[in-house]
Amino acid sequence: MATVKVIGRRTTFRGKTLFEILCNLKNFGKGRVVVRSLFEDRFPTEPSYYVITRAAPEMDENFDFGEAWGRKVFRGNELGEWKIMAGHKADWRLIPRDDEHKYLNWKPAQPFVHSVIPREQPFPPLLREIIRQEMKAAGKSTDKEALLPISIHETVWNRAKLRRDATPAETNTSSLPTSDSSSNTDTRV
Amino acid sequence: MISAKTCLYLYGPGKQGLRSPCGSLVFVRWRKPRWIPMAKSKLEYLPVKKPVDPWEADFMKKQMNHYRTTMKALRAYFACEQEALSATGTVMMEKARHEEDEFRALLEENARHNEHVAAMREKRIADEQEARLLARMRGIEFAKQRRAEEREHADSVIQHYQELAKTLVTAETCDEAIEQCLDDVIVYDFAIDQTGSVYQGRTLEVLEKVSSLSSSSPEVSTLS
Repeated sequence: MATVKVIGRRTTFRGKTLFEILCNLKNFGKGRVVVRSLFEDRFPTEPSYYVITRAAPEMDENFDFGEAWGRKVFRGNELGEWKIMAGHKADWRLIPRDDEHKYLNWKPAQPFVHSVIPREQPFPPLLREIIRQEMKAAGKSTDKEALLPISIHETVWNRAKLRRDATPAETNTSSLPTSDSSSNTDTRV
Repeated sequence: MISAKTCLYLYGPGKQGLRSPCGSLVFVRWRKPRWIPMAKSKLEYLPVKKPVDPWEADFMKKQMNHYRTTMKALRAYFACEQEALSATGTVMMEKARHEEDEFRALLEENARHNEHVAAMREKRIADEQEARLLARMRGIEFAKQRRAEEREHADSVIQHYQELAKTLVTAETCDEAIEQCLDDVIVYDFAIDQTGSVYQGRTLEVLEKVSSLSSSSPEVSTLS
C-alpha cells in the first residue's frame, strides 16, 4: 500500500465546497439543508444552516465557485433569504434527509436569555478621581458619582442588549458581566 | 538555482522592507526573498497548533470584548468633552477669537493686494486698448494711401493702353492695314562683311545701292 504523507498546515475547515455538494444533487440541491462545520463547532447548542433556494455553480474543475442563495438560519434565528458568500470554502456538510427535521423543527429548550448590559459603568480609577476633583473645583456636588455611558451594537451577531429602563440605583451597582460560561454573553462591539 | 545567500548578495536586505508607495508596511524578510521556495529540509515540516485552554480562551475573549466596549465609551466621552470645551472653554474661545482676528487681518491684506493688482490691471488694459486703437488708425491710413497709389498706377496703365488702342487693327481697318503692309514691305534680313558693316535688305539692288553710297566699295557678295 502506498504511503500517504500529509504535507502542510492543518486546515480549520473540514468538509467539501458547497458546489461540490450541490452539483451531486437534483436541482442543485434546492430545498436541502447544508451546514458549515465551523458554526457547528462554535455553536453546538444552536443550529446554523442554510436551506438552499437557488444555485448556479460555475461547473469548474473542482466545483469551487458559483453562486448560491438560501434561507439562512444563524444560531436558531431565521434571517430570510441570503446570498451564500462562503460557498468556495471547503467547510460544508450536507444534512441527510432523515436528519433534516432536527434542524428545521428545532426549538430552544428554554427561551434565550439575552445578557443585559448596563447603560453606564464607573470610570477607571484615575479618571474617576480626576473628574471628582474637577467637579469639586467647579463647586458641584460630588455625592453622586459620574458614570461612563456605554453603547453597543445590538445585532444578530451580538445578542447582548442594553438595559432599557436604567434607573440610577441599578446603574450604580451593576457593571459589565465578567464571567459566564454560556456563549450568549459576548459583547463584541 | 540561485541560493539564498547569493540573493542576499545580489539584492541585499535593504531592498526589501521599504515602505511601498501606498504607505502600507511591507514585512522585512531578512533571510531570503519571497520568490525563493521553501527549504527542502522544511518541506515536510508540520507546524503544530498550540493547545488552547477553552476556559482561558473564553475568558480572554470576554475580557477583550469588555475592554473594547469600555475604550469605545471612553473615546466617545473624551470626544464629547472636547466638543464641549471647544464651544465654552475660555482658552479655546480666546484661541478662536485670535484665529478669527488673524483671519480678518489676512482678508484685509488680501483685499488691499487685490485692489492694487486691479489698478495695475486696469491701467494695463487701458494702455493696451489705446495702443490697439492707434495701430488700427495707422493701419487704416496706410490702407487708404495704398489704395490711392494702386488706383493711380491702374489709371496710368489704362491710359497707356488706351493710347496704344488707337493704332490697333480692327475689323473696319483690316483691309487698309493689309494694303499698307503689302505696300510697305519691311525686310529685316541683312548681311555683314569682314569689317563689320551691316547691309540691310535682301536683294543685289539694295547691296549696290549701299555700296554706291559707301566711299570704299567692299567686295560684292550675293545673298541668296
